[in-house]
Amino acid sequence: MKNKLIIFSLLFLFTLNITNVSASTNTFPRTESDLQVPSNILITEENKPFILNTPKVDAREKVYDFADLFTDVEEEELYNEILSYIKETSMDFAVVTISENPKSYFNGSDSTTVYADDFHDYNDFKPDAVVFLIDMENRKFYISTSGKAIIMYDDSRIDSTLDIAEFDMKNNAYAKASKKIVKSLKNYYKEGIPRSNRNCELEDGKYKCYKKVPIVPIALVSLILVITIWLCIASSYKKIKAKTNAADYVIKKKTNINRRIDLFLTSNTSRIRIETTTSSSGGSSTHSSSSGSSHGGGGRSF
Amino acid sequence: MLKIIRAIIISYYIIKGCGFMNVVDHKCPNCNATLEFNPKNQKWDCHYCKSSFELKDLKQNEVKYEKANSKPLKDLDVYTCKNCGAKIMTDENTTATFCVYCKSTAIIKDRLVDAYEPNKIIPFKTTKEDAIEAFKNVGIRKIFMPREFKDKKNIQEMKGIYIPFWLFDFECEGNISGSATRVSSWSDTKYHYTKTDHYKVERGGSITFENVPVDGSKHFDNAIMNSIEPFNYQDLCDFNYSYLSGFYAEKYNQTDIEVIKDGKKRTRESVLDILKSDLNRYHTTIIDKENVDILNVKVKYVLLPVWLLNIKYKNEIRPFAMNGQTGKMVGDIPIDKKKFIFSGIITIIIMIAITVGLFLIGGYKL
Ligand SMILES: [Zn+2]
Ligand SMILES: [Zn+2]
Repeated sequence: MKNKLIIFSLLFLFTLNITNVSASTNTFPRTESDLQVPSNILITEENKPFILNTPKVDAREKVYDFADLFTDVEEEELYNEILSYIKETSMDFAVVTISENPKSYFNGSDSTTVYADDFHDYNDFKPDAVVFLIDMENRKFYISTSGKAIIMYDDSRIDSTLDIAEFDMKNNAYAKASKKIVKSLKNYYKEGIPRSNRNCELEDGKYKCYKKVPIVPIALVSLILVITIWLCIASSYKKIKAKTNAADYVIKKKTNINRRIDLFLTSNTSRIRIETTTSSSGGSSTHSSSSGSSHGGGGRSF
Repeated sequence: MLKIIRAIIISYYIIKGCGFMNVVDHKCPNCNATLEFNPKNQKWDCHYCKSSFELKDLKQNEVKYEKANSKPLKDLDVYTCKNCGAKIMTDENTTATFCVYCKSTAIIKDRLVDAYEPNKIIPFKTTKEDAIEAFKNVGIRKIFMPREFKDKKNIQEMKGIYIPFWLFDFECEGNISGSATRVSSWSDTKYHYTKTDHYKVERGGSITFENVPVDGSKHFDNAIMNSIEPFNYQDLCDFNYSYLSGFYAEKYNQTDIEVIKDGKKRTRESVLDILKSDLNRYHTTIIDKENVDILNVKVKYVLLPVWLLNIKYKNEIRPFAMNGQTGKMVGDIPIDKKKFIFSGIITIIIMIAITVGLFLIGGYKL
């Protein structure tokens, strides 16, 4: 009986340990000689320090709670939410929390942004991915998008997703906020590519927007123009035209307009708001990370 | 009782109206023919233009009509075309072999009856050679003209004809009224403002026209005679038989009364144009009342010089006419439809291709 109890408690401890494996975050060491970056990353002297201060993680874990903000249950729920996101979108998703941020500013991006971008680039996530980072040092939360996610989530979608999470972030409900972000981004995926990014695409991982040739207006204008010119030409071949007035035969001296009445009745004024034109060059603002690839996204302080 | 009084008053007015009718001989406001009272509908009918008028229309339109006197015409031969009925007059030194209008050779020499001397004439100022040269220049830079159109041997058939014209002088009184707006607009940083001032407007006055020409020939489309206008009336001189020598002259077959409608229509249009142009300080105008009265008409019969060449092309006679005084040549040039449509389609395709190409160079994508 006692033995059995020991076995049970051991089993219990063991299972606890297993859940702990998925809950705690394993990192792998990077060395100068073995930087452990994905094969598509070109290592240069500039990005080497960025690689070295980016933790190497198991890309299958999805939740990387370095700052220990989530309970095990929360982590589990969040993990399931992310799995459902990945299944729905076939893009990748990672939630990262940090209590210290070793990154420095890069190319005008603040350290929170740099951390989130590098975390994606120097680990084995899919190229199309979202990283949600909670940076406790800077008290900032940030959504970093890569690949197709840049196109899927334009600035307005990122902005409203951040809106949804802001209240919970300010009330330290980090897991709730993270879940809401995953859900919101999943729902936006279902809506398809936003109108603002209809004419945008990825070219070698770089976000690019182009304008479509307005073929229908061109054809229409050409058609109307040529028809008008041709009709003018045709009418120049027709020299016989009936005269409808006698303007050539007016005697100016014997012409006298002597009755002129101009009676003011009313006046009315209308006004239209002046529309400021916004440039239509795509709906996602992007920047390059230290690895050289494009990222989109946005973040806020809390 | 009231009904009886009303009936008496009405019958009084009817009797009064009839009495008036008997005294004044009314002229048709449209064509100046004498009107006849129709007891059936109590209106005045015109047998020429088939319109009818009420008394109130006629009181406004008592037109003073003056026609220059003419003597009977003599000493001329007249050729009558059996095909189209045209009557062409020549002096004894000029003969006609075919009809200048329909090219029929079935013409017979006749005695001239019932013809009047024109009051005035503008003699030819251009020669047959001038006219032939002008015709040769027709179609220069007209790439859609079928090439075979001018390979014609009948250029020599160019004939100089004095066409009978009625020249009308009209004294008119016009009036228009309606509403008009003036629009001004300005902007500040936030809004664009548009201010519209509304006015009630009226313009009126007297306008005089002199020598509005209307041809008196049925065989000629009015449009072609309109197209060789204007003639310079400073060259109008008294009629003399010697001007006809070597030329044809058509005997008029439409009287001034038959054609005055065309002149009135043009005049009326011009009166309204002149009054409306006086409203050009407004941005929009809506005229809801317009009225043109012709107060005085004077008419004279003149002969005006025209070179005429009828070209038969694809079983259709195309007249080319040149103003014998000013040298203005008119006529409808045929269009090679195949060439015309094909080149249009090609041009559209080239235009689309070039524009799309420019867009592609500018970084746009298909
Ligand atoms: Zn009439
Ligand atoms: Zn004839």
